[in-house]
Amino acid sequence: MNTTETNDRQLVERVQRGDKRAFDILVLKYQHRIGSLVSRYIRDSDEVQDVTQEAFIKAYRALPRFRGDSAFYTWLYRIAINTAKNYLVSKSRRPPDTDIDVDGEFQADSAVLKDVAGPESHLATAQLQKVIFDAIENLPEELKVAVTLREFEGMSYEEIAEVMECPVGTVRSRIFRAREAIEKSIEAIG
Amino acid sequence: MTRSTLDTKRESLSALIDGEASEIEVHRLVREFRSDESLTSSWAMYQHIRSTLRADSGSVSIEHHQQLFARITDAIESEDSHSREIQKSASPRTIIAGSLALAASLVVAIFIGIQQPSESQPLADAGAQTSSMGTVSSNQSPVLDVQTVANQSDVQPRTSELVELDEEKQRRLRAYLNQHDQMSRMNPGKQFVNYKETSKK
Repeated sequence: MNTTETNDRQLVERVQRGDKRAFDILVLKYQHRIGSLVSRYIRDSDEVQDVTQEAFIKAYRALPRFRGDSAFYTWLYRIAINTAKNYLVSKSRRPPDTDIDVDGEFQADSAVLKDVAGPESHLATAQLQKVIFDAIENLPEELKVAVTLREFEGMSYEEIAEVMECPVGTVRSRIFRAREAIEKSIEAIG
Repeated sequence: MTRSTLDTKRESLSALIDGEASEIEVHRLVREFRSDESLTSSWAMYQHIRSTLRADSGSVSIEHHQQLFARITDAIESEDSHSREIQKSASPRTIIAGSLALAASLVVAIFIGIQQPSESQPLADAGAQTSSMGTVSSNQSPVLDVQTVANQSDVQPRTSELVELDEEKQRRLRAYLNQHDQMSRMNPGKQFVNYKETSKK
């Protein structure tokens, strides 16, 4: 079990023990991915929000019965796909024949969302990307390497610590400081 | 709140988004999440940075992110309060009445199960049992009937049948007895049936 799954497991157990606030973090953590997933089935953005919300409510209701045989996200992902498909059927629209692979979901995200987004949105995205890349470029070397390995290579803190030959706590702090610096750059452009 | 405390929290949040937070940090964040809005906005910002870097969804703004979050959590909140209202509407009196009804139907079902002759038994045997049942005083309650019949030595086949009650009936009976026991412990000194009221009617 990787660290993300461990954190999810802790949060799930909290919800199962009656601490509903822990579900807030699960929502925040996965709402974007679930929203992106749903948007591959449904184009209208209002409908995407409705179905995303419905998927989370279904997950919340079913969580007491979640046994942890699979990762929480895999389980949530299945609920979201079924919710989206049922929604399409209820609207007499045909759901796609093939499901979206849970692992390949991120690769396909951009293509679909680019179709939906208008030119203004593209411009804003491109502008934002430039600000973020510039901010990363201007970071001190150790922060730049840490955040790059995390965000682009998807390495765990432990792996980054090995690569950078420093303690895990230092990696964690560097990534945080890098994010803080990027955030400041974004806020500076309003 | 001091700057260092805020930074510590945000660093924990940064670790959590990467799935690297410790259990203590998760515990603290869960506790403070709703009371500290800056945590939600920081999370949205970190998520936004990640999304933009991975180019998976630049069109989702921080406001959109927070709006969707508020929408989902509100829906769950109202779901919870709805469940609480339903629970409130089921008063203890209703629960006790329901339990008594269940118990009564179980007793009747078990009693009928005992009374019915098995298909393989010869008719004469069934007739003999009917006559033996006829010896029991008619003003006794059905429950007493069962006990009396079971204790009589001339109705041995019925006793063996009682032992052979299928598992499902035994399980239900045990469940009922447990439930009854729990109810009694929850309401010490209280009667579940008001005999005085019953006799007035």
